[in-house]
Amino acid sequence: MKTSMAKQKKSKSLLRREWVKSMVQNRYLYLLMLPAIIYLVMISYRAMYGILLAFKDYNPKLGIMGSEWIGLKHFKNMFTDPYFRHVLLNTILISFGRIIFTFPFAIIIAIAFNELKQRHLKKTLQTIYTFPHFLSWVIVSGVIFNFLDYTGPVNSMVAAFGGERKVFLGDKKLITPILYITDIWKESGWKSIIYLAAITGINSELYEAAELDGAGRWGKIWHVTLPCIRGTILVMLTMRVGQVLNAGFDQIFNMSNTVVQSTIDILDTYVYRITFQQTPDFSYSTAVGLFKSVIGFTMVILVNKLSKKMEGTGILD
Amino acid sequence: MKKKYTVGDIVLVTILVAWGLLIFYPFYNSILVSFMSQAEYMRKPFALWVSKPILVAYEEILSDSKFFYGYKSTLTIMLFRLPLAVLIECMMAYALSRKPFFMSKIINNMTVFTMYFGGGTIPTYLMIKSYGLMNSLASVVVIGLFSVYNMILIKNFFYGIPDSLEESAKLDGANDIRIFAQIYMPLAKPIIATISLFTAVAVWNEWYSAMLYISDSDKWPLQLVLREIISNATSTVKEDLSGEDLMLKETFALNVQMAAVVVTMLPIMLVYPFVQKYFMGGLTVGAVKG
Repeated sequence: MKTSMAKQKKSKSLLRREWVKSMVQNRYLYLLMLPAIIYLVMISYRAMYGILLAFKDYNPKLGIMGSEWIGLKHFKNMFTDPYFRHVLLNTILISFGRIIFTFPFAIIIAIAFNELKQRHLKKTLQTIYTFPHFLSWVIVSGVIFNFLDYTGPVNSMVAAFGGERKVFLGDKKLITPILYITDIWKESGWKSIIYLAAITGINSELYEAAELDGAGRWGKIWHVTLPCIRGTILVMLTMRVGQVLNAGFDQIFNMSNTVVQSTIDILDTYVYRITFQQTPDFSYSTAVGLFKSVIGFTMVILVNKLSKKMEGTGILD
Repeated sequence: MKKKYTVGDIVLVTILVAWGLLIFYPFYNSILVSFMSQAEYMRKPFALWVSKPILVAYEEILSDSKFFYGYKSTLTIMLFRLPLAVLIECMMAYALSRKPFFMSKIINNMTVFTMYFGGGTIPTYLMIKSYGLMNSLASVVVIGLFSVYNMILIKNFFYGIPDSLEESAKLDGANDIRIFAQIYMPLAKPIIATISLFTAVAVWNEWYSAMLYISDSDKWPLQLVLREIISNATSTVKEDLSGEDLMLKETFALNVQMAAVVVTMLPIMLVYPFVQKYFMGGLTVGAVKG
């Protein structure tokens, strides 16, 4: 008994010497990490400390620490508020709408691009397709306002063919499809690059073999291309599902107006509005934000596990 | 021998070109509208060119100091955030890509954690306030000074460099900082180019933090200036339409709005075709993994 204790003590001190040695040996590496660590402590983790507010009744005079604890009151209020439930449902519906309607587009574009033989055309089109990704939704919404304006090109075409002009962005029925279409318009070109890279990596012998078996264009896409990029598709899909509570703040915030506001109101726009436009209740807003972060984080972990099970590799590690 | 095109090829090209035009035309139309007089706009909204271009909207925008200040703020933020962010990310990436050492795994996990979980809008807002950074450009510089995502991209690049380089330099008596600065940084030029471009675009498109933290409109970055012009002008569009002297007025709301859009978008538009390959390079560095 005594000897084993002594052994443990010895190994402990050995371990201690070991990490001291490691620290001394790698002292310059710690120095290189220092700025990032300062950032993480002073900004990332310091901001997380403010989450305590979700369980308090914030009083600016008393600060975060001094404010009174009230437990889960904000969360109870949240779930009894019908508007919150409406916003939560909206967030999930819009998010899944995006997955169903916009997700496949990038894959289709990548496959179509791969079939394109003209190299110059390919390059030019790729530049055009990916360009809008690098603009903010502030700019893009401006371009879309002009394009869909009451007197703009789309409405003029509609009128020229005898249709009736519409206020596209002020129509509760049209606004959600417009969100999806403009999302596809702006982002799918860029997203297709990942799939295109995966397709380029496919062994060309597979295509030759398929050709020998008499496969045509569709046969090759169906039996070679798609199965080969299945892994990439699954990883992208699981990552997207993990982000289900991010329903596109930038886009909705910039394209919304008073007419359609409640139709496309999502958690992020709701938090912004209750905090910065009405009489603010910082604690309640923090609670809504925390709810979103926790669900979001849980989704990422779950999705990572799922991806590991399906593909043998996770997104996180 | 001539290449043979099947019907399928022709259909494919047609669809892809059509989609390309559908992306291109709205931008092109915005540029046209920024040069159009109201009279011409009413005549041909689906225009392919402007017959009598006017510069009234641009004169109006450039005579207003807002855009001047917008450019100034955006460039100031760029000047500080871009070099600092890239340097901090490279340093961290180098250290974390070395052989495991005491605490390195924990630090790595704590870093990656912040990519998936954060304080949220209000706690961050209160933090900026408590640091006394409200209404100062420093707030926008600081938020987003360290991107975990970019750091991981650099780290993956460093993993691809053979360890023997580090080992032989160590034998020559070089310390980690020298190896990082004199061997690894020069080798990392391609990934540094990519990360710098990603960061530059992020700064150029910055508006959200500025909207939250900066109340003084003289300090607003470009995008926020544009945002205000767009949202203010939308409310005046309908008045313009109902007016009797509609045609007589030279400029109109959309004209000025689109000029503002063009002024904000132009730098990216001009640079993008030339740097496109670096952006795409960033994606092929490898999947983002902790």
